[in-house]
Amino acid sequence: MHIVDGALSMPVLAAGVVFTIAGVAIGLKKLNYDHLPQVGVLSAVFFVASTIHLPVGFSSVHLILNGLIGLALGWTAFPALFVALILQAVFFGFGGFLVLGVNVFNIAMPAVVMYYLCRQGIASGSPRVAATWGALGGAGAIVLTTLLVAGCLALVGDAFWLAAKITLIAHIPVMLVEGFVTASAVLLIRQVKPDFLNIPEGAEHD
Amino acid sequence: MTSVFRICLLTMTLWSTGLTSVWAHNVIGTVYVIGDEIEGEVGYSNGDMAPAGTPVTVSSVDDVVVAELETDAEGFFIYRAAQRMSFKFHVDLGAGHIFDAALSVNELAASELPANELSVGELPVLSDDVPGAMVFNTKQRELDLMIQKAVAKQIKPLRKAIQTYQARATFQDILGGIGYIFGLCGLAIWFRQRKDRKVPENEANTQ
Repeated sequence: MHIVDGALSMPVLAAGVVFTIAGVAIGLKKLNYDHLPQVGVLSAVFFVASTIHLPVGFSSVHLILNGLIGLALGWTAFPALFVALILQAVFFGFGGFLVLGVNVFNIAMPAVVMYYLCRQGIASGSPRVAATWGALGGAGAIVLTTLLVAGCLALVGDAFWLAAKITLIAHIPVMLVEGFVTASAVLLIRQVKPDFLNIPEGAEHD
Repeated sequence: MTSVFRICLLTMTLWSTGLTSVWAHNVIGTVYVIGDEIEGEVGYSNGDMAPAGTPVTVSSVDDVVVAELETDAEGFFIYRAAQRMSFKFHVDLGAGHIFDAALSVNELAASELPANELSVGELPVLSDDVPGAMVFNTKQRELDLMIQKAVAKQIKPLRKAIQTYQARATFQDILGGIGYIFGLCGLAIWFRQRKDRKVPENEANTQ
């Protein structure tokens, strides 16, 4: 999901930087400083998740976990993912610095969208409903990120639907795994630390 | 206490999964000279090679395209250099995966190719007056080429292993990154606390 330096044109890179600066600014403004350790932990989770490759069939895929991060952090996902993506570029050479803005936007924006779409669902009284919304959040964020990546590549000449189809098909296993992981994480966090997902204590017992 | 135990369990599970299969997914590749041929190979750091037919663009340093090639099923391509000059290689593996490499003219210096600045008419022509020396030179060149090819074949797996190793995310890298993230958080919390502490102090001073 990381686009590398040299793959995109200057206007696309510039737009990515502008959107990311706006997202990070909103994220920092909305940041509840009492939740800073949570932001740090999730940033670290994302940083590590991209290095975990799961062998699936003929290829291997890696986790992204932007759905889970979005559900837990909302707009704060932007600064959390920004820091993690800088460090991934430095330590692993994933993506690059010129393309950082685009990569942050492509991964963080779906996280924010899933936060708004699923935050009611994951706070539901029924664990089954909450897990379903969690799975939707996890898988949906991957779909959106895939479409955004394909969109960026389409802007520099690649055929959008072809790129989207290839990336989407390649990421079907990731969607399934992330859906499962996010649903499980939502169920677990609801029980042990509901405020991690901005769910008031005892909501699941309603 | 149970909740702490569960969080620890979750963290340990994530970690153990991470430790068993830690590698990056970067594009890796190389270009090297054998005689007057430039060979290259491109693939991913997880061991997959570029699919057959992946386009390779060879251009000069001024971005003038000099050749369009395709990789074979093993991500391998060969370019027979017509002139001694610096080349740039660009391979687009799709979905934002790009490999760029440059080959300096110095690496081609030992070859018998004409330099870029010379026109064909100016090429040095070997004299027929010394046939013995010519035969010797030709044989020497053939021998050099054979040695280069043999060595290149031998070090090919080593080259690949080194590239994969370099592109791999090591455990130290991961720990370092986590350390930076937690350190940044610590800094932010420290600044915030300092700010919060100053506010009541100022309020106390004004009263």
